Amino acid sequence: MITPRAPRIPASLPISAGRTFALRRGRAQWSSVFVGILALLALPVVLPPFWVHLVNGCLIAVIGAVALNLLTGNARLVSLGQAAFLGIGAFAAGLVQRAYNVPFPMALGCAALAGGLVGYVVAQLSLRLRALYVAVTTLVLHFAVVTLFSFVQAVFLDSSGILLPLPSLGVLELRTPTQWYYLLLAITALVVLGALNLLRSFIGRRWIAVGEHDVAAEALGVPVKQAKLSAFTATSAVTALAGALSAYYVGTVSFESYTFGLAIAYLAMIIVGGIGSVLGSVLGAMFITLLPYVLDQLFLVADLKFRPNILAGIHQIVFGTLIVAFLLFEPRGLAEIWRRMRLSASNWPFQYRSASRVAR
Amino acid sequence: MKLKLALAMLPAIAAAGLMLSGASAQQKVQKIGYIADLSGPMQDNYGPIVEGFEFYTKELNARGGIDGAQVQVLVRDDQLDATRASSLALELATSEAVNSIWGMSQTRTHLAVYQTAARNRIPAVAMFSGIKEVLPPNPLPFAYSAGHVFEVAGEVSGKLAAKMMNGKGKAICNSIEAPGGVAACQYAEGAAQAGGLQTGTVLFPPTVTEFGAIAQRMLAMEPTIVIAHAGSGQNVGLIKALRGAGFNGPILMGSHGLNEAPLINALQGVGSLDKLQIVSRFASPDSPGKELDAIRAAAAKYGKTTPIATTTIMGWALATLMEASLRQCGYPCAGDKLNAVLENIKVDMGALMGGPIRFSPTDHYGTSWWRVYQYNAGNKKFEPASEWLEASSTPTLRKQ
Amino acid sequence: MEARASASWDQNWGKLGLLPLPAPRGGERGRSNLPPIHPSISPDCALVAAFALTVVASWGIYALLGLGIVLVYRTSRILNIAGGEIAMFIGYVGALAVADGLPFPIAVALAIAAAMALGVAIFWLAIRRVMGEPPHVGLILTVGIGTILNGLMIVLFGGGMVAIPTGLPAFTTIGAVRLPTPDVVAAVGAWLCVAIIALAYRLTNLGLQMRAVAERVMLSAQRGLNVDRTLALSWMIGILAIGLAGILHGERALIALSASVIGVSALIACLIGGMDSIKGVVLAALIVALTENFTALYLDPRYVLIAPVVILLLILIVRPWGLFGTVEELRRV
Repeated sequence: MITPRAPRIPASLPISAGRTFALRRGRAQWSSVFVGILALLALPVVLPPFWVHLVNGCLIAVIGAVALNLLTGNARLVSLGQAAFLGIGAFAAGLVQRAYNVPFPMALGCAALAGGLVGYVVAQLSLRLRALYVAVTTLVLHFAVVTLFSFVQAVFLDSSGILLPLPSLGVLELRTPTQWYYLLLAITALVVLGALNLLRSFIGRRWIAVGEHDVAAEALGVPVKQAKLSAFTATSAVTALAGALSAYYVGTVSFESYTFGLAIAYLAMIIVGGIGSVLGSVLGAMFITLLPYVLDQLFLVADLKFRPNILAGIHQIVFGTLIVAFLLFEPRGLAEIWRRMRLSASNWPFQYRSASRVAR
Repeated sequence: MKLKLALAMLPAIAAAGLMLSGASAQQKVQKIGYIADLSGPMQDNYGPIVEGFEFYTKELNARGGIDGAQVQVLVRDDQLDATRASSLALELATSEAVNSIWGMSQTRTHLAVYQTAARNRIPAVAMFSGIKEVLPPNPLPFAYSAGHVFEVAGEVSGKLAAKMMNGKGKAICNSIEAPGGVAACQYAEGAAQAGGLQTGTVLFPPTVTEFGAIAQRMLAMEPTIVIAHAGSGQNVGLIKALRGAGFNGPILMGSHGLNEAPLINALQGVGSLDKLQIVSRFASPDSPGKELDAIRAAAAKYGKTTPIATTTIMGWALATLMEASLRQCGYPCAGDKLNAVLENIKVDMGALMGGPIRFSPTDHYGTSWWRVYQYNAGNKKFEPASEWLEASSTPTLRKQ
Repeated sequence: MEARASASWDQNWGKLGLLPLPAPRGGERGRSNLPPIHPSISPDCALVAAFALTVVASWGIYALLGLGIVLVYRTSRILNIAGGEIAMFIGYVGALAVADGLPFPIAVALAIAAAMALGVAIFWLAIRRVMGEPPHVGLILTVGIGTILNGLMIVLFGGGMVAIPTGLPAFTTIGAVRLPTPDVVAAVGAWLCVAIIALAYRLTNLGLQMRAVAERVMLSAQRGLNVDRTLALSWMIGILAIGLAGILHGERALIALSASVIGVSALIACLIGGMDSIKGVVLAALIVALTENFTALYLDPRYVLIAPVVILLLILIVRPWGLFGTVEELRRV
């Protein structure tokens, strides 16, 4: 009599709590992570410096987009004030640097602190209000903040902007895009991993519960007020950090950069990428940041005989169409497209898997 | 499926484009960069400046270039965004290896471009308007301006207003609520006060298009002359509102990127051009002079059907400065060397401007000459109404 | 340097002065340069009349724009943030028509047709598919539509500042006061449009259908109302109102890309008055117009656009659903 051997249980099967909530399961997934890290670290060696600069822009956008997605995608507090928080971070860092000549990390810390404080105040104001009015409050915040900054810049600074010196971490000066890349990669990795873990922790689950249905969440015992406050404060602090990083990267701060269009750009990032998923924020941020440059190159290659002056209009049209199209047809965004592609790739050559096979 | 295929093709096309755009030339080439706002809402102001610059460069290349080296201008569009302008400056400096950046668009982008250019050690010369960071005693390294710096323009307009009114009356300055505009009016008020006038300032946001109440406020301040430093579009609305509210005194406009033809068309119907003066650092399009004839000839040669504007002349003047500096620099011309040349340059502008453009290590703007133009209803043109008046690059008459 | 400069100024000025300026009429003071009016009316009264006209014209334009936003909010519960861009788009259409030589009324008719087509197009292509979704989806959708329109304006019309001249004389004399014609046309036109649309909403069958859909969608559908058609028509009329506001603004001031801030002011008026109340938006438009113009005249024109925002902030703290809006229960969190 042949004793049937027990089937080998794949390492990726979620048979325990630890395995269920692990970020990656099994050798295949971990080795792809390892290869990914190697590729990211080797990137500036392979790419020309301007492309590294573009990647840096993407990384800063990823930080802001992840924060916005946590707020608007998971906790469902629609925020139109992204540009205001970026500006608060940039101005806090710039003013503190100009007044007290603080080192770079401290300026970043001040920026995050300022963003968190303002986020807390705005959250207190909008606690009682429904979704639409939260959006309106953040819109009001945007106008108020931009006007305040223009006043500060015109009256107190008397200049077209604050000039920031080259930042340095100890002895390492951040001059070339490659040096910035490693710093930004580290910060972005922290933010992304933090967001992923946050969503799997009790804080993140409370945010998701409040976002889905705050009355039911309250009935289940979730402290809705604390959840909304913490969501706003944390995400505003991270957004302000992104704003300060961007200010140091460009080298100047001026209130005119913080337009409503910037807030719309970040909203587009999370809509195109996928509302509610961290992967979506990353994909969306990269897509929207690189879009103008890709469009420019397309026009260059196609050598279309347009007057060059309608290029900005075409940027805007493509941009708006992306928002509308993704909102209407693919609300879960690029992340969902990615998941579908991955699923069909793993199912290939079959269309779907039968129920007996182990689901990934 | 097709969508996915197209999306996958995009990076390949982009890569091909980036490779193709780095064209290789067998002969000597001087590469310079030009950043402007070509497709945004102010394209009518910046477009002619680029045009003028490119006319000059084409003529220069047709003459054989600078000691046999052709000048290649790489024009980039920053769409009035400081981050994008800084990005484009970085691209020009690193990928394209230009040795200088010229032109630039609105003042909000200048600091970012100056900062990026300085970090990459190439000079950047602005034309349209300028920020005060190029003025003595400590100009930003690698930053220059050959256009209208608001502080200097403001002081000039204030002095002119005082002279026009013979030291009696009240001047009201108006401008937009932006750092340059505020400064222009502060200096205009200070200069007018020094000339004996009473003064006042009215500032408004750059997005206001309806000037009824603002004009009434200005009238309530009882001006005898109005100094207008807002953008040319807003100035049109403001002048119409002022005349409509009953102000019949002279209006002195700062020519910050002014195109005369649209201004004349817009104000014809209201009949309010008769007491409109424009103060500018450049010659008007209908002035005589061999440089202006050359501009008109080049414009006709390269197929421009509309008449040239002051902004075309600004582009041509900037290109004159460019040729002189590249010629002195020699070949090959690196950024540091060109910067050293620019720091001590003096270029004669002929009939284009009232005097030479001269930079020094402590003064990246130089003494400037300004002239007043008045509208002649007979031949429907703005004609010079004064001699060239000298203005120093250290405006001191600021209102306290 | 300074002494040398002023010496050369005096020399140059003394040698060749300016062309002689035409002599000013009246006295030196600007105020008495006003054209002569009926002797029994003092110049102050004329100024007050001019200011009142400015306020009434602003009020009318904001009320008309706000009416467009409120109408679509009532029926489809989507807050249209792109009001300013739509107004400017239709304004550019009108300006282009006039620049091509068409007389003003024909240009207005053309723009009306364009606005109605745009409204139906926006509804049919986009809004229809998100009916029933949570409110922020529609909000962001209108943001996207506004961006597309912004791009279209740059591509099709160039984005510069244009006006829409009516061809009428610059001043009209009403009674004994001389007033600028563009303001008069804007005021009269705006209030006429507001009255027509509000009365149509109240009195016609179509208005009744729209009100029914606004109150109870399911019940109206069960009663046999074609909800899709009513929604499409309400969007058409809403965008029409916004477009008319844009044309009147262009007639009175300028059309420009940056002038879409009138949409922001109208949105603030909607929010102050209550997003679903017509009475509210008319009253709130008065508040906004008064605030803006009084700030320009008495305080400082720098704060013209921020003053209504302050009032909105106060309302959001005290009475978030607006002055006349439907009272929404506050979530006690």
